Amino acid sequence: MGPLRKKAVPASVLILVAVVFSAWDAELHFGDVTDIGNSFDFLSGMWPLDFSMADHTLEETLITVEMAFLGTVAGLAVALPLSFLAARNTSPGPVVCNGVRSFLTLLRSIPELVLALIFVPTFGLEPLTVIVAIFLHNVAVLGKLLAELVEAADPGPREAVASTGARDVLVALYGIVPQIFPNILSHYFYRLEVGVRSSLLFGAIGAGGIGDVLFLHFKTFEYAAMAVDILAIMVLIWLLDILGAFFRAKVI
Amino acid sequence: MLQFIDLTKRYGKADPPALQDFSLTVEEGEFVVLLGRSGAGKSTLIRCANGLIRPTSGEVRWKGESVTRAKKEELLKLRAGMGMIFQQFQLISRLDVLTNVMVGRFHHLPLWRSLTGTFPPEVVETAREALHRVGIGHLARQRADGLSGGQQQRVAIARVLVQRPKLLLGDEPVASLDPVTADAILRLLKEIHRHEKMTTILNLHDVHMARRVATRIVGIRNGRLVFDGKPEELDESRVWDIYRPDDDCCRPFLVHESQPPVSHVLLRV
Ligand SMILES: Nc1ncnc2c1ncn2[C@@H]1O[C@H](COP(=O)(O)OP(=O)(O)OP(=O)(O)O)[C@@H](O)[C@H]1O
Ligand SMILES: [Mg+2]
Repeated sequence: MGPLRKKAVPASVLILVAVVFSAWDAELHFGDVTDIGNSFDFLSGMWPLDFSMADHTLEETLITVEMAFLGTVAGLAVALPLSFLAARNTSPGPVVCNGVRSFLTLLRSIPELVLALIFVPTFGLEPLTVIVAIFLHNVAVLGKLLAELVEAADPGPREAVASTGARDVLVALYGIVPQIFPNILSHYFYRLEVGVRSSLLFGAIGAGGIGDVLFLHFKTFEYAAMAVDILAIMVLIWLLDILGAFFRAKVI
Repeated sequence: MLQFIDLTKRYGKADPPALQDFSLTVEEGEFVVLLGRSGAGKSTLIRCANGLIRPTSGEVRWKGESVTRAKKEELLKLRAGMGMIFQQFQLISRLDVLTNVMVGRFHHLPLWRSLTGTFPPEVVETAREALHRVGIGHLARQRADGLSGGQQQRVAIARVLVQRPKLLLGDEPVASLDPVTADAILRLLKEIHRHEKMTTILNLHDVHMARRVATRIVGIRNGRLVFDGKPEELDESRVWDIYRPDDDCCRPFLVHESQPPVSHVLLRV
């Protein structure tokens, strides 16, 4: 604790100053907290739950899952080969390695929402726009994550497969993929969950899915129906979590 | 015939060379054992043979063809003719034993077959036969990482058998095994050497074992060749030459009254 305590005072002061400045600069109206009753009214408006539109909610929830699934699966399919080009230990050369890495970083720096907006003029306010945005974003994110897995893989099996005169693609497929497979699966399910969350947000711009329905119910003050939408989302995320754990347990 | 010609390997510019002007010619049918202390350059040398490591200078030739200068396709072809086994076995742990063995056929199978994992029945049969030959036919469908060390090395040897190479390279193939298992594996390698007429080069850490299996022993010290001869020519003073410590400071302690007890131990006299 000795050396820590020395730096604790200036560090606390710094953090405190940053908190106060941020709160002041962002012009937070803390006084509005007296209106908390409005939020309770809003929440109480959700009860009793209105299941009259549940069919529609389920249909659109399914669309959300489908969008996230298609986008992330396509992302994984493209990210996997790219990750081998980006990993230092499997890349055919420094030019390819750095080229792919830079491309992935550039792509990752574009927010998913921006990607979606870019493709609205092409595909319209449709699920396809959302799928393309999720796809591109996941190529970038999974490409980087999988490249790290490839770099951390044990070189032993690779060397053994290479020693038989097998082609590079087989050295990668047999010498590395089996080792990192459970981790690929973990990353994938996490990205699927994130994909579901972001396709919810894209619903807000009107591109379909349960997010679209939720915001529509919100705007038309149908809070009791909206509560059912929220319930569907919560159950969905929970199910994905179970599914991910199930598949991971299967392959380990 | 495998030729190492003036091989020098430097891993880093500042590091001392792992191999220095190393020349050696191994004739077909020989069973060569490389001896040397840790860091002497044995693994480096054996990996230069099949091009897993590229030497800084010098050349490796296999039956007159240059491994060092080979283009990718040629190199793959050359490697297919050389089997290799390792100290840590280096199997694909998550896959079953049979698939691990079939890796030995990858060079000769159409690419789509290996990519999709659909192997023709005759290849599966060959792999099963190889597993029976090394005494673990009953483990074909087990996962490779569930096996004992000795069993894993047998899987690797079965992979070499289906690969049908003319040369077998072994980087300390018995160093992770108990003495009895190590002995059994060495016997198996010796049997394969005789039966398949497979030229064999092994790194070993045990002088006693080396003298028993080798037709020729090569000693490496600090990347240089310091002994090359028949097992019976490897007397105590030659063993001492291979293994003695670099710094003279340790000498008075280790060499007690002009007798080299270290080689004594190594020779298990
Ligand atoms: N990949 C590498 N990068 C840097 N230096 C290395 C590398 N591999 C080996 N070396 C160095 O080269 C020298 C020779 O190593 P090598 O592995 O060939 O020795 P060895 O005789 O096989 O030793 P051991 O009996 O411990 O396996 C050592 O000094 C080692 O530190
Ligand atoms: Mg070694």
